[in-house]
Amino acid sequence: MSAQAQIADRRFQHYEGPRLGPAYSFLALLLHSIRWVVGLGRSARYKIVPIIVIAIAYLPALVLIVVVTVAPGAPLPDYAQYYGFVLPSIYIFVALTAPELICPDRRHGTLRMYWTSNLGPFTYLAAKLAAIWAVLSIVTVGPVLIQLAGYSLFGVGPHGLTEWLWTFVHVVGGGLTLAVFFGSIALAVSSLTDRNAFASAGIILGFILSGAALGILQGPLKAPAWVALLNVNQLPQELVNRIHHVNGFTTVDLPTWEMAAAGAGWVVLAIAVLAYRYWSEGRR
Amino acid sequence: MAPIASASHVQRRFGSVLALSDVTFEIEKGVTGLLGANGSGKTTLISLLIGVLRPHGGSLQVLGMDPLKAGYKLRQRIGYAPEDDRFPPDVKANELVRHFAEMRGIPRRSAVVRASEVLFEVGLGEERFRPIGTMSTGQRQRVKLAQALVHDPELVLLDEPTNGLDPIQRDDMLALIRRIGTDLGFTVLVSSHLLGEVEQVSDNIIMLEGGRVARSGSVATLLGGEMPLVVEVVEGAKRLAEHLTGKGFAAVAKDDLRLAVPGGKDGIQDAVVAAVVELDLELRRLEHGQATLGELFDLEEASTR
Repeated sequence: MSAQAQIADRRFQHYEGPRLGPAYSFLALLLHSIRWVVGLGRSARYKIVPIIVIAIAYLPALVLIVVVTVAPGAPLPDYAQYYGFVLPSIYIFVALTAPELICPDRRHGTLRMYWTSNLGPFTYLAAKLAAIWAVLSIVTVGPVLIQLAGYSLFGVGPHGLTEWLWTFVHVVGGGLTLAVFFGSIALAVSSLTDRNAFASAGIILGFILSGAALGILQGPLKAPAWVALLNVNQLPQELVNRIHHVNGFTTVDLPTWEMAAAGAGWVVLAIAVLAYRYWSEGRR
Repeated sequence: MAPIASASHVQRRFGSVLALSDVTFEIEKGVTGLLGANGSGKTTLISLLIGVLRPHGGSLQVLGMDPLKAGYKLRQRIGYAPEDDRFPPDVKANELVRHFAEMRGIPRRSAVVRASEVLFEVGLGEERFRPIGTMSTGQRQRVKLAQALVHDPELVLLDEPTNGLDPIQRDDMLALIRRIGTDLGFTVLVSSHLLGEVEQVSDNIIMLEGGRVARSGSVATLLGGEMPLVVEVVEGAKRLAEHLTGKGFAAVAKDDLRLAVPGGKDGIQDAVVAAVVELDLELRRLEHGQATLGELFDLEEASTR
């Protein structure tokens, strides 16, 4: 036997090391949740769909860079208009990831194990909200940053450092606005069921049907302008337009503060639904 | 010495239903069995001890703290395994156990090591990298036990840990729980609706009936050394009970398939077999220790008539 050889003692030992607090467990759950929904550390079938949807979200940015290089002077979409290309893939992504973040814990009865940990219902929810916002940012912030980098690299981006930095802030702000808006509402819808499929269908139908129904009210039926504040399809896109100071393809004749307040109201409502659902399943 | 946990006149309602009524008990070091029929309030009581439910009357102390007010400092000293064992099927056993170690404040590096150690301890050393969905019910129950132990808690609460197990798996699980309480020195509260299971693993028993503590104390005191004998026949259990009662054994039959007989009398097994032959019945099972609480009470009632 070599001098370095050791006998491994795999028997259970009582633990005498440090015990960390809720902040550590919050961060551990946040990272675990992000990895979980994008399929990291899971079998290939959980990776395929996120990879395809993420690729679809980034594809227009790469196409735009190619257009800039092969056809200089061609009309290019601005940063807010990018979402016109990728909104369907954002909807699909949020409809897949939000239910996967919370439905399995409800379905598999693991919630009570979290309630007997460093986390309670509200810290658990905070970690899940942060996770959905971070994951959605992959498709709401990332592609537009690629677009900005491409435009800047080939001379059609912002002029000067100050303008570039402002554009960068607008791109990140616009993307985070969409991530927070869509992510919060999708998580609230997911909390109403423990079945991923029902939650996904509810999210897709909620976004598309509410957009279509309110679109009819606003268009042919000449509903008042404030109806746009109820349109969860139109409202966040218009907010991004306002952040980028462009007149987008949607026109809403309302002041920006009203639109921002309505967007915040939707997010607060979604978080209230989540809080109610988990309070009623948590400590009673 | 102060008890590990105690309840004093605890009440809990669900709407108009009184789930627990004036419950008072103490849990000492060692293994305590929480015995009661389905719906007797076992899971409600465990939920109160972990602070998930709020009592509507009385007070609770766990490790010297109020479960509702103590927060995470108490929760990370408790291990809890719920009745449900439907874990995410594609998660590997070691990943699940490591994750819940982190949720109870164990740093990641230690959590990885401890997850392996505890899975070895519950007999899943070679299976620890398997997805939980590919495991048997018995193995899943062991994973559930492992996650309750991984952070080295001072009190382990196991809600019906033998649910869904076949007799061999059940005996293995009971032996494991007993070893956790004796060799590893954990204080364990284990709930069950089967008297035999609780008797097999526990030093002390708390018996719940209809949301009240029917009795509590050491196993030896409560059972007086006599475990009822459970007899299952294809049909004719009531006739068999009458026959045995006539022979001086106070047997009780809830239905025509199963009866319980006090187990302490000499020659009881021979008497049962002889009666089965005499009545020309078909015997399916003859076993000590599998009586339910209801059968135990019925036997006591029958013996005092």
